[in-house]
Amino acid sequence: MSVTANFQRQRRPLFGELSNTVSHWQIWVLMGNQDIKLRYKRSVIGPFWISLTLAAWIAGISILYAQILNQPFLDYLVFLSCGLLAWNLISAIIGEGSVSIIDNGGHIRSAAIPLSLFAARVVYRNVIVFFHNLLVIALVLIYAKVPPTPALLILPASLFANAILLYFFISITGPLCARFRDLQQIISNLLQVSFFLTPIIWQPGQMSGRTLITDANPFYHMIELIRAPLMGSLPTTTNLVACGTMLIAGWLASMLVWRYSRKRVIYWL
Amino acid sequence: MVKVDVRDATFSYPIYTSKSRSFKNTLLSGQVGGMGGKGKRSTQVVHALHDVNLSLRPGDRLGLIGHNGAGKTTLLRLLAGISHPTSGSVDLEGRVIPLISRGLGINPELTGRENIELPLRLFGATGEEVRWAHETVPDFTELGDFLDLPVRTYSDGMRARLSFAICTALTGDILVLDEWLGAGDAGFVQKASRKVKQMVQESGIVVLASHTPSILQQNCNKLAWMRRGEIVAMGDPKEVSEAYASEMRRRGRSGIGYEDGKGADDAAAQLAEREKAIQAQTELMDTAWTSHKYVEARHHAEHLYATENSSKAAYRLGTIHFYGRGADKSAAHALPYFRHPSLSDDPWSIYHQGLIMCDPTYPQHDQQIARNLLEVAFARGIRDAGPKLAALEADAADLKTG
Repeated sequence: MSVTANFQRQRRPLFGELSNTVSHWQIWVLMGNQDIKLRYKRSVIGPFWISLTLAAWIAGISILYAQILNQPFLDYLVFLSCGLLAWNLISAIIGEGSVSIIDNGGHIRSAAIPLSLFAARVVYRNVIVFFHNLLVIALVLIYAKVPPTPALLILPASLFANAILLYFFISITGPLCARFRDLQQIISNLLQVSFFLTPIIWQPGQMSGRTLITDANPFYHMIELIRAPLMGSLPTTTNLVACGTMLIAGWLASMLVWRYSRKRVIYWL
Repeated sequence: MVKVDVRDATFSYPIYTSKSRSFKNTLLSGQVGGMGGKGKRSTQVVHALHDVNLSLRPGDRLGLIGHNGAGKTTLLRLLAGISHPTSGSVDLEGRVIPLISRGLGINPELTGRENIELPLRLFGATGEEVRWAHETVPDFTELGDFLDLPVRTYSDGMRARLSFAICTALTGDILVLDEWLGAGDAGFVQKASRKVKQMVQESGIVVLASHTPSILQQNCNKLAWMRRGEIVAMGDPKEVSEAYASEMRRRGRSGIGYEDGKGADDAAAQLAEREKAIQAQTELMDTAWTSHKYVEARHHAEHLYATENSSKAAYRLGTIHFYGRGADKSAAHALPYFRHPSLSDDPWSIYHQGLIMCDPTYPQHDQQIARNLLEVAFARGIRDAGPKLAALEADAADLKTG
């Protein structure tokens, strides 16, 4: 009988946790599916509450701000809804990710489960939500008569890159939020501010000459990755370079956090 | 080869104060350095294990005995790979099945059936094993139709059954058990301990922590006595548990609470005496109830329930609150008594739970659950459940047609 340990002990620090996530995909997929199922179990229209919420946001903001910012309604509607789609993914994952380790304390205390699985669970369930939201965006694009372009083909890659980036991001914040209990509040405050600092309800072109506020904003690049192909163009080289840099930095930083927290997380909970 | 090697394992952990849990404070104190002369760390460190050495090979069935806080669970967690030694090493080969907490992976909002997969996956089960569990678990739990109801509607005893059945559906090389044999209700315990015996035989190595010497003597061929994070004695189960028992006697802290210097015969005598006292009190309670002295019955029941956790007292207290005799009538008060783990097999308790669940004045009432409960009670011979059940069916039919 072959003898294997339940989960891989970390022999290869660069890939150990990643390979745990990949080889135990059943666990986080199962957990994510349960989360989605539970969230809408007792409502009639079920998961489409998610889409409805986004639709209400889009309708509310676009009607008001197209007026305030003096923009053509249809153009603004498309820009806003594609941006909100991406922002919803990012903010939900970061927000839920900061409690991912605390909420799973019961599991962590009773079985040897790699921490990265809980980050993957949060990312996975929000990617499912993303697809629900995508329906609304599709309707908006059809309503605004935006023709589909070949740029749409890179959308899956954009989504994947965002998912990986966010997976690294919450692999860092999740354990740290368990160690420092006020970090969660700090993160949620920063998220709220970022929503207004990032070009979602306003367009980058409106800040004439001041590119620092967009270029130095990591969320801008992540959103562009998804928004640009939906609006029929490709993300710029700056976007790609920024996201690539963040991916590498996120990988290294999350590796450090995994190493630091793996043995300690049990007494942070 | 399957093996467990623990060398000089020490485990200590910090207890964080609310201040040291704050990111803001940590950051600020880092910047300010030693200002204010508070250079010392404010966190306390708990030493949970000291220099523990263990070497187990296939066929070894080790029992751990000791007080609460002696480090039994901490050692089990180290073996299960849940925590890691501060110094020293824990070297394991083989698949570990850690049965340490009973609710692992069970979500109360999902049905029993939907809850089967996750706990198994968390132990690293393969798809094949999950399929196998889906076939075997329903029979083993004997939960019947309840398996398709949300777990939140289960009594404690039913939950224990479910989670025991799920977690024991796997076979591993190293089985780590914490106080598991006492789980579940009277009817289930026998079945459970047969199952554990079978698992113990199938697994190469077993480590089992318990307070009960008889369980350890039956299931183990080695016993380690732990005190304040150290293994103070290890060897033949009988010898070690006798040494432990005599130490406990000397300290007058054994479970039954007898005085210093008395032997095991005295302990048996005391146990018999206690049984007798419970019997007498139960009788007093029942006579008071049947002669309509409800307040008196309630006093007896509450005393018995508090001191001996007796199932008869739990049932009596349930009826007292259910019918409002000797206390205010309150379904919400009565329900927990009927759901007492020792009563989960009692048809009359199930019947009363059913009555409460279909009572519209009870805030969490639920017709579907009520019908299921009453059906179970009726099937187990409670005739009174019949008319109520028929009324519920008629109501349901009315709702459909009207």
